[in-house]
Amino acid sequence: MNAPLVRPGLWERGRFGLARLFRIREVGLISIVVIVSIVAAISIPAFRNGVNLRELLNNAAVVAIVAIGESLVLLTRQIDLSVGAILGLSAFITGSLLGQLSGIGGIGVILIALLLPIFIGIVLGSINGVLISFARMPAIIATLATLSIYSGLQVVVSGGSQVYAYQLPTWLSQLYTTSWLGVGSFVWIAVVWVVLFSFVMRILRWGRDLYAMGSNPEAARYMAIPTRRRTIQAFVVCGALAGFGGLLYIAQYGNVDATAGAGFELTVIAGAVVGGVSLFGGSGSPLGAALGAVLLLEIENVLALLKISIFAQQTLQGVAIISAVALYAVLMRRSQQPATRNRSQSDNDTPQIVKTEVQQ
Amino acid sequence: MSTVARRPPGTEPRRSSSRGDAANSWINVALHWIARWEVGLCLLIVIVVAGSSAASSNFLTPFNLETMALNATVLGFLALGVAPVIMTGDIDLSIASTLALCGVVMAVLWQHGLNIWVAAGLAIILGGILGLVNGLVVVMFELPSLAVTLGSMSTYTGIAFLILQGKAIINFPASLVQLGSGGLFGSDFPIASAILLICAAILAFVIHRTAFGKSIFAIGGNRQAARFSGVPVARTRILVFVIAGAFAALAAIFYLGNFDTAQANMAADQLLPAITAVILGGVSAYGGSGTIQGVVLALVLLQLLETGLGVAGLSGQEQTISVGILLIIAISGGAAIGAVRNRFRRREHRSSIALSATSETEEVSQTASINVEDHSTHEQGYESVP
Amino acid sequence: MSSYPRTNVICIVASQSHSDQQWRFVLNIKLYSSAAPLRHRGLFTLCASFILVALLVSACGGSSNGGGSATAGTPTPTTKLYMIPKFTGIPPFTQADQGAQQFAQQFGYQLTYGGPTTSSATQQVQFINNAAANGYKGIFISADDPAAVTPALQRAQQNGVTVVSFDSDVLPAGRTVYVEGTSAQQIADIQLQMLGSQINYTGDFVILSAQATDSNQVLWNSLLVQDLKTNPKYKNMHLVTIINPPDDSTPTAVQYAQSVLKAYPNIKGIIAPTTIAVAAAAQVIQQEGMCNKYVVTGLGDPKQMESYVTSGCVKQFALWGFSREGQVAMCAMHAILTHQITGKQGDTFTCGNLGSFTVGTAGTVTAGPPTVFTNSNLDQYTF
Repeated sequence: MNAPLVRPGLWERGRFGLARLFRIREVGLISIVVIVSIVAAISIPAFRNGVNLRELLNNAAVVAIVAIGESLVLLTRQIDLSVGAILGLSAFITGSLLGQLSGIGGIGVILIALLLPIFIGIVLGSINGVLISFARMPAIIATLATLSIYSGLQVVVSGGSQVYAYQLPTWLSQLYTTSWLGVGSFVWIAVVWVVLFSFVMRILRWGRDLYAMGSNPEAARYMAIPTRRRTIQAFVVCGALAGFGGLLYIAQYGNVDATAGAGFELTVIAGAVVGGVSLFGGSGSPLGAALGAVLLLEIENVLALLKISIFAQQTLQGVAIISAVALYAVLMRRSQQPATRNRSQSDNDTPQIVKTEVQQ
Repeated sequence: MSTVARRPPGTEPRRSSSRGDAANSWINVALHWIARWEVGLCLLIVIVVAGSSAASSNFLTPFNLETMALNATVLGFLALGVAPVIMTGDIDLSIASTLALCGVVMAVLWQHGLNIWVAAGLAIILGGILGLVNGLVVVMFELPSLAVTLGSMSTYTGIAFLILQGKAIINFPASLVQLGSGGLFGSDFPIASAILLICAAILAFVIHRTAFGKSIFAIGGNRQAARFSGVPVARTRILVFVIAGAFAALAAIFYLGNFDTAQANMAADQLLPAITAVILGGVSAYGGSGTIQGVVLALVLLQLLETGLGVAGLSGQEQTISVGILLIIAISGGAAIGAVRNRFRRREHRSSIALSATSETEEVSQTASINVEDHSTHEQGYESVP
Repeated sequence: MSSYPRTNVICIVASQSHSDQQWRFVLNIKLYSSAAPLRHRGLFTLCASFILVALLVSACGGSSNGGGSATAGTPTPTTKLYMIPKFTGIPPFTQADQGAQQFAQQFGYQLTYGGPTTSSATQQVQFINNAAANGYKGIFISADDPAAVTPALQRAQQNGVTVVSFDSDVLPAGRTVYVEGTSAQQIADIQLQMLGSQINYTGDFVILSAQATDSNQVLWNSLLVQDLKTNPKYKNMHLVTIINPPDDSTPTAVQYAQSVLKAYPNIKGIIAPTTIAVAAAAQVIQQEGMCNKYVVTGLGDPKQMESYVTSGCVKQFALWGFSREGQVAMCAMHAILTHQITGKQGDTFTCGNLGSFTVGTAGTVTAGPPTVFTNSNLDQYTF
């Protein structure tokens, strides 16, 4: 390469149409979701039930939102196992604060309810980010450690008590049951986040930096992408979305105790993986993660309606992860261009072995 | 038997940095000694024991020691089993689920009339098979071990739930309970700990003294290079998963002996402590280095620390938080030490690297090594270059 | 290169990256990195022996609480007691702790409260061991899994600890006395009564319970089934199934409540004998607007159920005084520690202004009667 590398500007030049926003993989995923929905709706009457659909979509919306954040982290070849604990901790703190303020109304309380959980998520996510980029901890170990720390904090902070549904402002408790244009509020909120982050990831340079870091970390560094800063930012955003998920948790369940969010991270990661976000990094999208969450919960819902033992659902989650990863890996290898995003070539274009010496 | 490529003028073969120039090298040696992970663990153990004994005379009672030893057994088998996997640069998140499934199968077989020891043997075989499944999927399909074992973790737990349907099996034969919680020859020293130490010794021998063990480190250090050196990469990687599964099944046997109950989610909370023990024991999360002795020391340290914190009045959750913080400090400290060592070595090397079209060979002795943590091929820790 | 006990294998992979002019050494590795070299082994052995010596010295010199005493110690003013709930964070156990604390202060004990955050027998065992090892003379426990914690309790008992179980019993060998909040029979009766009175004593229903290993749940459910069969008042009511979620968290309970309503749409109601499950079931029918279609009742915490009762969705539920349960447990512990009772059937002890209590069969003490909550008395509970 003789010409100096030019970093693209803040915006991707080119067509701004829908084709820029979505890639081919999402179309395939959307069609799978549609097909499964149609088949289920035809063959299982209980699936078509309005109540069932509402519950399914609302649950899927929460998973989808947190999965969007997780997908950002996964794209950079990291992982965040602490999202469940972040969700729970921010849900508890926000819920208890709202409970303290239960007499007061007005715009201030609404702002607090919206911003506080996100803020808590940002703080917790930045701890993750700093540990991973500055202390050089592998993401899995760091987030396992922070998972236990945050869960422990949940217990310590709660002090054995919990948040009660009656303490919460009514608009919040009613948020779950409100629907606009026939679709639940949670779904609309999820759609907003999906559109926002699809825009960020496809159009803004920030998003493309994350893809670059995940595909080829070495090259990303040569391209003067501030990888450390981006890593921290990815974890911060992931934490923020997990915190927002905490707000939705309060709205949905009302009663928040010290175990809120436990085990949620597995569902989130499963949803993201099913939606095509590669654990190798570098491929996948927020829309994919959201659709994956929908698909995963849809299949669980179908199994429950078919009265297949609810214990089978955990098995399903595991099989879904493995199958999705295997499937996407196979597809990726089939459609691979030689020099792009192949992890075995990530550091070298032409590896050469110069000498092997065995010394006795 | 060395075929040395021609060298550019002005360079000569480098000797090990520990025998190099006077000023830098003895600092290096000193750092290498002090920074040796096991020494740090020993020091920490001494500190914890001293501190806790000073805080309370209850700390080192025979009852406490026996309790710590029993607590450590299940965790110990899990940690020992997963250590070789981490040493090869992979990870196995399914060890706790393997424990649960093997324990459940063993309990169900016993419930249907099979002799408990035959059931135990079958459980170990099952553990090996479950590990084999992990290894085959990871190696043959070239999938990230993180994803595969995340999936198999859910799958195995789910199967355990399906088998037991949420119930529990209790009241195992006295011989099993004796194995799990009884003392050696009637003393207070648990049989389980004795067996754990024997297994640790055997594993240490295999990892550190045999060709198989060396291939583990080779693969962890640089899988590509190991493959080119003739190390049987695929076979070794699969084998370490099998070992992890078998050890998880062993852990299940001792779990049943200690707790006398089989549930589908047993020991689900032991995954993080097992990995903590391995990482705390000095096994690099990226693979390629670590010792079994370090893992054993880390197990001891963790037990002492948790009990010591309990003596100091911390609740269970505060103990967990402290262990999480300790893990972070340990890894950050290790990274800091590694960065300092790198700084010394890099200074020596830069003066002699020839920036030309030809490469240069180096003879490196036993002790010198260059860490390449700043190469982020292992960002997630477990997706390394094949 | 078949076997290489002392071999260094060095491999240099050099590569050309983006620029022509720049070579990079990608990796230079040492493959024989981790066996303890000869000169370090000495240090390691030294270290290990140091630790062993330190341990031995401390063990011999430092222990003043050597185990083995089989008799319970007589309480001194600083006797320490430990309370282990099934899991922390839900009000019933917090209230049990508060009740026990009241009497602990009266008797001059120091009560510590602690337990796992989720139902985990393994963690409960660790709490038991910690307590026994740190000189606690008495343990209160509500067991996640009776069989799993009993061996540890027995070891503790051998080490001089008195065990009183409450709320959810352990195996009898592991405790001296079991204090139940209210009699299991009464619990079964009252739940059936509350449901029956709302569905006209006719129809199908489902029990949404907790983990399958919860001994108190198992007991109550089996008594309920028996009641259903023998009592002619309930002859037109039919129990379809008992659901045991795999854990006791709210989202799981909600998920199971939702799937119950989908799987059995023709039932008339749900009996949920845990505070979490009843709140979850109430939440589901309220959120889905099905309050008139299904009846939800069971054992609930008044604060948790308040929003559902005031909205009219749930008409009745029951509970007993957990605080009272804690008080009675503490009195029982005191009575045992002061050698007033041994846990035999027929033993009696007093408990301040609560009156006197008698040990029933299998060492069980009943703390009091249950209370039925409706919209009118919701704020009158004196827990």
